Amino acid sequence: MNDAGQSDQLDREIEEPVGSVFLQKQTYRRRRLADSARVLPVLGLLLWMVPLLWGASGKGQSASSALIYIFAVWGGLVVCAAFIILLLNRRDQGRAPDEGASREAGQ
Amino acid sequence: MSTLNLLIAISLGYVLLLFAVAFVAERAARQGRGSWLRAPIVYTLSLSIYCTAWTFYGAVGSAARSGLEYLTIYLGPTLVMIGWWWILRKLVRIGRSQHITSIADLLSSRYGKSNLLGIGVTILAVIGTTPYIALQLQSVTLSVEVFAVGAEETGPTQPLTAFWVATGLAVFTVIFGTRNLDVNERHHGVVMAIAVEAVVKLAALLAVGIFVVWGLSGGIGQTLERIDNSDLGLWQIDGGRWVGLTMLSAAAFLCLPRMFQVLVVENDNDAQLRTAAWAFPLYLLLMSLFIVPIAVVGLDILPEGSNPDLFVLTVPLSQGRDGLALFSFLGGLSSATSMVIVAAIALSTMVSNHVVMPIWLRVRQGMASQSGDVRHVVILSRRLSIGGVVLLGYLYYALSGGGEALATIGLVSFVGLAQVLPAMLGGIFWRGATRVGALAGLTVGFAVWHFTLFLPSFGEDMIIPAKVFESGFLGLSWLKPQALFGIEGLDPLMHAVLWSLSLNTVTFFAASLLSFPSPLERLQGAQFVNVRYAPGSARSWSGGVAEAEDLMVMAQRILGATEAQELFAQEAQRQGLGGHLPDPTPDFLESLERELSGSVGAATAHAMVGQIVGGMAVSVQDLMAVADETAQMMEYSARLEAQQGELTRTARQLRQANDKLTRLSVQKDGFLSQISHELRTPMTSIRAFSEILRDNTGMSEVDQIKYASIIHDEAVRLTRLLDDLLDLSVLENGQVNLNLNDTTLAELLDRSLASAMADGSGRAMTIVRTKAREKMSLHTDADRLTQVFINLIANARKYCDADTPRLEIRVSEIQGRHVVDFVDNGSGIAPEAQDVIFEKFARVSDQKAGGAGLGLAISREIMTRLGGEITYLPGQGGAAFRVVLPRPMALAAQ
Repeated sequence: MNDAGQSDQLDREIEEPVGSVFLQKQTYRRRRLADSARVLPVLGLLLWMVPLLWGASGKGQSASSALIYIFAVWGGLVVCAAFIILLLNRRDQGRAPDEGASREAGQ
Repeated sequence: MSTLNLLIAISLGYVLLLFAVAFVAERAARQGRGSWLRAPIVYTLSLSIYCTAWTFYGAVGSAARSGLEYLTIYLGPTLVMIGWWWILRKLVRIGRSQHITSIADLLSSRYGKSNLLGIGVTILAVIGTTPYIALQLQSVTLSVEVFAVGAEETGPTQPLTAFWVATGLAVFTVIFGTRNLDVNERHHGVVMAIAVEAVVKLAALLAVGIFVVWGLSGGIGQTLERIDNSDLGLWQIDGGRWVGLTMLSAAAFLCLPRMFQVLVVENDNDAQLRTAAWAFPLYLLLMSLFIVPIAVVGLDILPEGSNPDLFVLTVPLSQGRDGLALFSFLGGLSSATSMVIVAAIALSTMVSNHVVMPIWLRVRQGMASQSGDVRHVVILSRRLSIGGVVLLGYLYYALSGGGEALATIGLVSFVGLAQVLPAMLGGIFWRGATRVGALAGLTVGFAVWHFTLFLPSFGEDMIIPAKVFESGFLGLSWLKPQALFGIEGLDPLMHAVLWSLSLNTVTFFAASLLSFPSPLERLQGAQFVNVRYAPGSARSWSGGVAEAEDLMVMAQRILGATEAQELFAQEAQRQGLGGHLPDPTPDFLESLERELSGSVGAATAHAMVGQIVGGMAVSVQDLMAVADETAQMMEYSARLEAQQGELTRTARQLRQANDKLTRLSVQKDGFLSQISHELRTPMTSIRAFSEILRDNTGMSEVDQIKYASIIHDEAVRLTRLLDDLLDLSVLENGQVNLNLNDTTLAELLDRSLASAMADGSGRAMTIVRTKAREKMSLHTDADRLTQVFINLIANARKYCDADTPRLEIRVSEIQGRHVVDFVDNGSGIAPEAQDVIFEKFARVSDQKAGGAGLGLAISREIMTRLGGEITYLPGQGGAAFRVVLPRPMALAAQ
């Protein structure tokens, strides 16, 4: 992933005029959206690994509550992902489709 | 009409519907009305082939046996989809930009278009997928049997059912999977049919689930209560398996050939992926929502010992809901068929592109440029491959007897195919990954998987003897298939996952670090890793060699005549050329290769273009484009250094030339004053003595004679000087007439010595000669050569400053030419003077000015005219001149 990070860095430098420290607000918001898209699976993985701790207590958890927990996380992930993608799409809509793709590529 | 017959009728009707859907979709796509076929929702639904019959039926069975563990199979893919920004976004973009046709093609293309790698992945995929296809056939057979038991028809229908299902699937796949040799390898008909099947299986499972929850259990609350009171009531999950299976299913989701086919190959635009990223997890959620309730209710109401894998069918049947059961059966059939169809397409593409086509190309070497449509060869090989793959699945099913061994095979396949993951992820994220690394990693992972999981999955004593399980391979205790390196007590599956993937990754990494990639590999690597930033491609073809016409012939065979002509005409127009044939520029060759690779795979396309173009060259510029900044700086400074070296050399040469010119100029000035002096001295004395003779009339006769002879001598000296100058001028202008005659060297030397020594003014000098060697005959101008010898001998006499002067005259033969060296024992000529002594007016020393400094210049001119040469020979302990005698032949020609 390191390479991708470097490329992002490179791209950032290309996109922004040299010497500008702050991004335009649009670009900034879009980049934070991309960050949230990156973080979401990590969050999901952590939440789904929580059940590992239940066994440690020794008592055990009831299957129904386990099911509810897992499916709640699942639903939450789907809603969050859909929301992020909705925002991303809306943000990209102003641009031509091709340009949108390449701009999006640059993030 | 019995249930079974009804079942068959409904199944046939359903299959016909699928044919119709696929047909309509294909036609719409061909007529350009197929934008709805690329709708993101269709793409999302096509991903549902991840949920095979194994998950449709087997998830309930798995839940009944081991509780919530079945969820992991869905959690992994959900995480991959939710994390689309990390991997999938890049993967589909690479797939589109490089025209990737399969996962084997991806690796082959990434690692320098290596076909070996393509073959390796293909074999792995076939071995990993065949049992899976068998599993689908088994599930359909079992489900049919459920209905058959209800009716009277019993008997050995199992293999027969499987056979007809397999045949039907093969026919469908052949018809819609190889309909066209699409440039982008997209199959709209198949994808559409699969989307329909996805809806059917989801609806069927949901229907059964709703019936169980609200129809049988009386609502959500009561269902949850029922779950808690059942055998599955407690959370009892092996933590290792929970984590391991989640990871494994995530890996398999990316690596399964059929998933790669729908995820990457059939992908058309980013919007599809964006929708699928949240919609597919939702689909998975819905698919797994009612699994536990169905399992619990099934365990509750069905008799002890019923197969939990079939609860989805048997629960509605036991309640007399035949319609629901039939719907559920269709759902299972959909799951099985869609998986087999896509898997067969994916595998046949791999087999045809990486095994059949390379062999065909090799057998018919050099025929790539011949006319004739090659598409039928590709399509035929695809069709045969599809038949072969499905047949393999059927044979596996028939031979394994469809027993319990198949139940675990799904996960076994997952682990096998997940071996591709390190090479794949390394390939798209790490430029340092090399072909050698990928091959080594895959080989190690494949071998470990075979030994620890695949072969043992047949059971003890089936392939691996029980003794090996007990005491290890070859009696080595650290080579037990299920306890490698002595680590006991692990779950066999997790054991295999752990060891195969970790050894695979470590080997891949280490071998990549130690090996060095080929130029093409590095280019491809850079393009894959930086896919979004470098839309340009590796310019690997050296243009101009290929004949545009040959390329056209070949392209027509693969792309079809119309498409190829259109492509060529477009390129010609882009290049600003009239007519149909563009110039085969490297750019064009590259784009053509990519178009072709969409049909026959990167390695084959590369080979075909290679057959016509001949040489493949990665130019320095290409590599420079890929190399990072440091390398560019180094190259730049290297170039500067080279330029600087060149300049330094030129400057040194110029300085030498300048020095020489300066010296010559000084000499010329010196000579002018010298010649004025030389002319003036005799003139002065002539004038003075003639004035004396004129003015003093009473002079004695003796004095008169004395003065007159002085005047005469001085006039002779003047004449000699003028003669010399004239002589040199004549020689230089090439106006000399040579008087050729036969003589011997000894004779010439004798004459020269006699003449040079006759002048008594010089000191006595010892002459050393080797007379025996001098007896060679010459055909030359004897007088002129003698003049040279006299000059050299006289110089030696004049300038040799030794106490006992000695001149050695050596005759020898060097490189077929006779040379005469005149070596004295004086102090020789100073190095700085050596290159000017042959110039006109050159004098070695001023104090012994015996002549005008024209002797050696004249000698050199003479030797040049005679076809020989005269040089100064340094390092002989004194002044040494080498006279290279003329070649006899050259003389004869003159």
